[in-house]
Amino acid sequence: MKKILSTLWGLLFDDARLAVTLLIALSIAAIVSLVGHMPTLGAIVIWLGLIVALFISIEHQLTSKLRKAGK
Amino acid sequence: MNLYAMFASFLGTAVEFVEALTIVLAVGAVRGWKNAMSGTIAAIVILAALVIIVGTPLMNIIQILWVQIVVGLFMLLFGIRWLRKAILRYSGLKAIHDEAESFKEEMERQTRSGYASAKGIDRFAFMTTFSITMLEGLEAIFIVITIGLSSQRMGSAVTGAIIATVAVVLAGILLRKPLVKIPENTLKFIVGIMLTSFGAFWIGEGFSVEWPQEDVSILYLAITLLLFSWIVVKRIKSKLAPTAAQQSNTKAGAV
Repeated sequence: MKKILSTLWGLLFDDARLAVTLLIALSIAAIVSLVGHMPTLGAIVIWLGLIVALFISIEHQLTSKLRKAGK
Repeated sequence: MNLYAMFASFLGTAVEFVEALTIVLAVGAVRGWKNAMSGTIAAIVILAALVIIVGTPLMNIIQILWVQIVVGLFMLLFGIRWLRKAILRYSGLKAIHDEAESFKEEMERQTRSGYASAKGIDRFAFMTTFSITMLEGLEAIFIVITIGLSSQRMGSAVTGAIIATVAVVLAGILLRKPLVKIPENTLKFIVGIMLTSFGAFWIGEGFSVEWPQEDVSILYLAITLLLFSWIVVKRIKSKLAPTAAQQSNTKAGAV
């Protein structure tokens, strides 16, 4: 558990957007599957969560780079 | 000797070990074979001790669900971090530099911060290969115990598992050399995709989600990530091209 927390901490420092979006997606998937009893929807949430988390993180990097270049 | 029990056990064990082998090979090629193998061997020793000491009641003692959640989260966090960096490098948002030098620097940094031991053991490689071998090994053991108990032929089930283990180890030895020829950044990209797909799958299993086509979902998760990466890299390159041209024109003007 300590290892996971330190990894998560490293990821938060590396890119907080990626880690937070991913954890939100995983939490939604867990609730949908375990509480809402919709296991297939839970799988879809994880699947989309990966893509959305990466997209938000990379898009932010691109915007920052373009803004810097424009100055 | 029951051939059905032996074959079923062989197939079940082979599938689990091939999954573990892909990660061990990838981590070994990127972070070094010594580190990758030490994690794998440590997990095998612990699993063997558990089987010898506890035996068949092992299935009731270990809650595989929690192992899947912990290992899945660990793999997913590491994998997605690597994948993101690889996409940024391919697209030009981050410079592609000498990976060997970068790895050396990272190891030195980790040793200074106590993240890697003084003997130079890469904890990332150790933990990754240890946890994958532990999880897949446990699943393989549960398969063998289930087949052995249900068919009342434990000997045949164990024989099938041993043959599968030898076959997978031989495949690993044969595949080791060609892997070294793949460029470092490409390997990191592939490992990132693999760890992310495997991690997402296991954490989903831990949350009791229903993956369409079960284990095959690892493959379509990987394909989706591959397609996404390709589209994103193309898009970023086209967005950065005018900026790069403008910068080179400015430099030329200054000269």
